[in-house]
Amino acid sequence: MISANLLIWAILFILFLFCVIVYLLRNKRISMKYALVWILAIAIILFVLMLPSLMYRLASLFGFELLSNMILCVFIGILLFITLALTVMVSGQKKKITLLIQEVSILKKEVEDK
Amino acid sequence: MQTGYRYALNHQYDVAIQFDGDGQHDVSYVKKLIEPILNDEKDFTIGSRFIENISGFKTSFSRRIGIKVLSFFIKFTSGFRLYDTTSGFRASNKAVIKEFANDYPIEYPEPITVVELLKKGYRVQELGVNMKERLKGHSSIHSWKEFYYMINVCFSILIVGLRRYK
Repeated sequence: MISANLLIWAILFILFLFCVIVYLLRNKRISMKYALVWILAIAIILFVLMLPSLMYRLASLFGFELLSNMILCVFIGILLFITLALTVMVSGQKKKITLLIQEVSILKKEVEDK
Repeated sequence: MQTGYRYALNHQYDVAIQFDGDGQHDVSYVKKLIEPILNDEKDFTIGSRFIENISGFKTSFSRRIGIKVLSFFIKFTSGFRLYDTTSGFRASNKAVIKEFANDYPIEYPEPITVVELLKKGYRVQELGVNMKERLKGHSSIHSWKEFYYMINVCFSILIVGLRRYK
């Protein structure tokens, strides 16, 4: 059985994470578009944490012997997903920045040649 | 959009008009919008479809509900009742141009910027204007993106509500 103690700590940690995200948003350090991915993840985790019986059924359904293993796996899965999403964004930005530099260089050349 | 405000700031314009290019807005109302700004009664004016209902503009049910919800959130965070939350027909004075040139949201700026201006103590007014149906093009707000839009904007407004200005 997962102890009530552990559950409370997990919920507190998630709420703390939520506060950090709100703080970052408030100081304009991150934009809402990317914060929403985190808020969605937090909502899902909170929802699952609130229903331990559901967690047990899911764990046995997926063949986990220990509930804590499933929780760890889910966390790692979510983190992998977010990292992958960030990689996609970085790649896109890299491409845009390169195009921008080229565009500016051409413009600069044309202005200087005149 | 911010590019326009930066341009206006660099050229020291007194008034900047934001105007949709899809034929929805009516140029003849520009005068009405800039009048309170020229008289220095207001800092920022918004052309509204829903005040005075000049055109009897019809919008879809879901769109109306969405606008009502946004209107409620804006009232809740700033105390100001705004009827046409997504209107892109707006006029700003020098001080507001400077604000926008410095910082302007990338996604769905209209409702968020209004709340920011109100929180900063700028004088905002909504004025009734006539709006036509779009000649071409779609609103940037439609179909499956509508839900994402609502969530994003509602959260953003609440976050602006949490900020302390001045």
